[in-house]
Amino acid sequence: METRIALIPRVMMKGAMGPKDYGLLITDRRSIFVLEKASKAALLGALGDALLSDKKTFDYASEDIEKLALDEHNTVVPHEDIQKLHLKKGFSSYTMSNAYTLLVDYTDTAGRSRSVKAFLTPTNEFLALKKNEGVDKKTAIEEYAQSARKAFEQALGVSAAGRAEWDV
Amino acid sequence: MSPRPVQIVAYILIVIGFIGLAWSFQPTKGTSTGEIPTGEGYYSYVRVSMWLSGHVEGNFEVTSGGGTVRFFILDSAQYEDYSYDGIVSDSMFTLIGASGSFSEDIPTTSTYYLVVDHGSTTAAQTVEITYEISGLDIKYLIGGTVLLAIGVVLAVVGLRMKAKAKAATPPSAALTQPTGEVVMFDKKT
Repeated sequence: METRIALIPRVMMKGAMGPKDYGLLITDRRSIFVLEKASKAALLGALGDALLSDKKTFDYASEDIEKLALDEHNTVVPHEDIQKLHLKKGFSSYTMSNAYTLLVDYTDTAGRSRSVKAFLTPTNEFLALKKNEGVDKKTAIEEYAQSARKAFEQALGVSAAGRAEWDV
Repeated sequence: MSPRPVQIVAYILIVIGFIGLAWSFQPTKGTSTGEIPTGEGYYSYVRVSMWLSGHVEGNFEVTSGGGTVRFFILDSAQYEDYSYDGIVSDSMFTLIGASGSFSEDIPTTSTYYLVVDHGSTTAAQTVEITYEISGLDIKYLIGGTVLLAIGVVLAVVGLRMKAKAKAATPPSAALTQPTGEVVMFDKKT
């Protein structure tokens, strides 16, 4: 039986029409990037969120994992097929702030090499919470990345040792 | 009722309102054909409403009936005098001819009139007036402002409806953590 390990509430990935928000559900077998919100157009976004798609919310604790994995909007990365996982420190042009980028190279079921690039972008709620705790934004972003690292380490176990690279 | 239709209508109105406001700055071009019936005292006119100040220019031509016409640009007071007794005691611009061009600055917010009446003949005449008015177009200005205002009000109403709907929806216990922190699941789940 597939076991849920962790949820990274928000990562952002580049889309043709602008950034897309994903929730990242990590199980003991795979990482599922669940599409929660996609901008229909960056320009129209300036007019307000009525013209953007609504943010979908999922009950990640009870949602059927297979259902999430089969959704064509979502991206599934089987852990055993990961060739390289790199949590890299950098800068996000979407949020115009420091961000950690998750780079995953893997082989899909058809044997093709694939890459996923996602920005670990904490939610505003998380940043507000940390601010109330007296934690500055830079540190909060770092904590978020550290939590993500722990989640991956737990999910990938010792097999990740040779394939993962952490800048946090 | 879902707030989304309200918000979409609001944003459409806001966009149209902005277009209307932008359009109000565009020059208005037009062509008017004036029929001056046989007999003294008949005239034809084009009314121009101007907001703040601007400029009007163009030309006129007698296209049937022959002879010359008198062409005037009159402000409201001058037009009132003229329409009362047919006598032009004062005008902003005057030209007599079978055709001609005009160009005149319009100094202030008011209604102005491009008037033609009989010149060398009192026979029926047809006069074509082509004009271009530069300045704020009050119709588009008011229309754009009204649509913009309605759009803003609807946008606020939509946002409030959305906020109320959100507040009324009980959060699911196991949804994405409201704190946004990385969630480590219990291994037994």
